[in-house]
Amino acid sequence: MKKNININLFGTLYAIDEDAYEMLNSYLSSMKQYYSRRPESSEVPDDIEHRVAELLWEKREAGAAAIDIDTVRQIINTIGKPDEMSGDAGASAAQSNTSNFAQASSANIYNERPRRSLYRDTDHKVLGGVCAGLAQYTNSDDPILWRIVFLLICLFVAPIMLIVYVVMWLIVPEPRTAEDYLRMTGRPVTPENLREQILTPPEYNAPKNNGCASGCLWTILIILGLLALMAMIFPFLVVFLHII
Amino acid sequence: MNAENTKSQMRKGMLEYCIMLLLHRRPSYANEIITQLKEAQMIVVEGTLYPLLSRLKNDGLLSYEWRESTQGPPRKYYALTREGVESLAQLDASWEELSNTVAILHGEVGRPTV
Repeated sequence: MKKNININLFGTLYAIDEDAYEMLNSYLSSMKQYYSRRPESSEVPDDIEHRVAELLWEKREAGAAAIDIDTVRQIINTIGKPDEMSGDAGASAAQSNTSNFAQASSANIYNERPRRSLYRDTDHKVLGGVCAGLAQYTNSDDPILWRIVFLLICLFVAPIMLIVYVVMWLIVPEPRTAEDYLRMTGRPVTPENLREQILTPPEYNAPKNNGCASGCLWTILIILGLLALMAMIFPFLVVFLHII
Repeated sequence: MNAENTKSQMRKGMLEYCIMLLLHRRPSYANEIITQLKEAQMIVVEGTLYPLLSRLKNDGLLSYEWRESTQGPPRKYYALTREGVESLAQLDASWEELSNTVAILHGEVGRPTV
């Protein structure tokens, strides 16, 4: 059973599965993103959307009640990904030898490589997922390093970091869509990756509940941290009370 | 020597010319062009067509108009402009030359007398 939504494409409604919608939506936005840097072909994303609408129409005429993810994948394969399309279109630009082609396409890939975005990695969180998010952002495997550094700074260097943490907790978004997850982990937002992300639940959900050992460790670390913080604030508190 | 690669380069080189020939016969919308190009195995992914049409339009060789469709969304009908027709004539001439050369190399046409 799948959740189903309605989309409006050029005035016609289509019923589409939610995962299929996610995939289609990200395909169309990757198309827009790709051509936003090529003002001479600004009409292309719109043309593609029209083509998608046409193909969806055909599917429906052929008796498909709802558009599923296989149909969307088929449509994406038929139309092609942005770099496949431009690779062919560049043919007239006198790219006659293959090395030119290879260079051009690898340059495309290089340009298209998305930057990682900072999210709170709530799948690996201890408190707010800020440190886990920073670990994802910096591509380090384990957030423990970030946590320890953060804690040490809080304790011995600048307790204001605690406030920084809270502010980051409030400001840094948590990933909600499949696209967010891809950006968080630095994978390019392509239809394949999205599909993978949507269909396979994130494998790094697992460490969330990996037994008491790490849970206990974190509890101890947090308690230690709080104690140390108290100890640091305590002298000020005494002075403060004394003044009063 | 990779025959597949050469073939695909040849198709790519011909694509623009073929599209212009198609549109010279009659104005068409993308789906019609795609169907015919696919039959001729000229394109692998449909999307290839769109940046190409967009570029030809920017070069002033094509123009389009929207037409309502009884089936599905409205369609962009592309047609050659006057400039496009002129440009096509040049391409015709150069195709003529190419195919002559190939024919000669095949020995199908008598060798030019020395």
